[in-house]
Amino acid sequence: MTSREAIETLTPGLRRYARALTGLGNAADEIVQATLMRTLEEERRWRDDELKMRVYGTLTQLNRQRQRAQAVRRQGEAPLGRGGVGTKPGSRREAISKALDVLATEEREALLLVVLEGFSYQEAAEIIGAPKATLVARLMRARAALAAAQGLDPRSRPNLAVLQRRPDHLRVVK
Amino acid sequence: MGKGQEPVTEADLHAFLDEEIGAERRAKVAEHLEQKPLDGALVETWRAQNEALRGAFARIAREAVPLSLSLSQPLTVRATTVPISTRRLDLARTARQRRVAIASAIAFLAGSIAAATGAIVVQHLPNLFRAETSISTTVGRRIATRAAAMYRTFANDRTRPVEIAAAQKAELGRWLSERTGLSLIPDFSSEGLALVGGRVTPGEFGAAAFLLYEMTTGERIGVFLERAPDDSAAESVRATPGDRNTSLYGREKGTYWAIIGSLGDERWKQVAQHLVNQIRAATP
Repeated sequence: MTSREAIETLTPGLRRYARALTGLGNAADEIVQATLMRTLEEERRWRDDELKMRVYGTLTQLNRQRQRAQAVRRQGEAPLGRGGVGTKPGSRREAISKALDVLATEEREALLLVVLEGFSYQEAAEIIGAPKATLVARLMRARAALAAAQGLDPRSRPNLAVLQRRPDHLRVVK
Repeated sequence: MGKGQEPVTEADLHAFLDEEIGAERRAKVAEHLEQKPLDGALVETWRAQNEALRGAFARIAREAVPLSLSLSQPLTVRATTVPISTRRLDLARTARQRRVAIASAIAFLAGSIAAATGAIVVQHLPNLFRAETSISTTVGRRIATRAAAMYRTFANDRTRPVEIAAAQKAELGRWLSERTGLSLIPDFSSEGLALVGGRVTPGEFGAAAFLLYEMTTGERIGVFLERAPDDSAAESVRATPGDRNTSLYGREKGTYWAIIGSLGDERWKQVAQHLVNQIRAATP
């Protein structure tokens, strides 16, 4: 398999990740395209086994840059929000996209890499460039915040054995 | 007490769900979940989340990948910030363009005269025919077309004609400079044109700037600026007819520019000259 073919097999998953990560519609493809371009430019430095993680890492980085640029641009203005664009009103994807909107970018990355893209904790940690413990902490916060946003948070119920014992895990990001 | 016997933590529940757990520990967590149904409910909530998340975005990974993302196709559009040399493409295009030059000149003339306010355009025609076909005018023509499309889209937008208004000129300048590499926000106050604001917009080679100016009468003109990928091509000023509007375009010191809107002929020349002077002054 040539490197181009190898990248192409990853493109469908990258588009899914980009769409969920950015909440953008077709514009999410632009960040995928930038990812593919940067990957091709770096082609000579690849090893095959690391290609997939490298590509996902690039997309993650580009999205962080995009969000930082957006943050600078929107200083002093009301935030535009993330989700909703490119989804049909009332659709399941819109509901999820809105829920993802409450997450911090780093939490969203962790959740999507593990759940949506099926990376192991170790792989996802390498993709986001953080220790595994950090990845797991972000994943935990993401799930809690998502459940809270959907009104499903069992933490609101009393007598949760785990949470009683480890109150430091009670932190709900909102 | 082995690792498998330590008290179950929330992290264990996640690891259990994500199958990031050894067999011994897994058995311990499973036992815990049976004894503590509320923790079991927590895990089930997350499991439902996972399924909803995967279900919501599954379709995207099954979609046909757009041509713009297909690496087997020749890449005509690139979303990088790296300037791309289009010189060879432009040369090929120029050759094609020469062949159709006469035909398009006739169409151009007919279209211009047909326009209700054709006078302005027609007055520019002698210049147009004198100017030589060059690489820059091929690109320039596309840029003029772009500028015209932006003008049609944004100039009459009542809600949000610009992304950043003139009141935040410094911020606009920073943004444009960062994205387009051009720090100039031209000033036409001496021409009676006040800056409305501007935005970053797609250009021929990368990100470009589109700025709007307003006369006291409320008429607006648009200015398009994009950094050229190389400095080799000739400079020339051309005119093209829009539907009701005229655009002038050219290239100065490595910056492609176009202005579009409705202005009297003499005003146009002044504004264009003013713009060119400012680009010269702003470029080292």
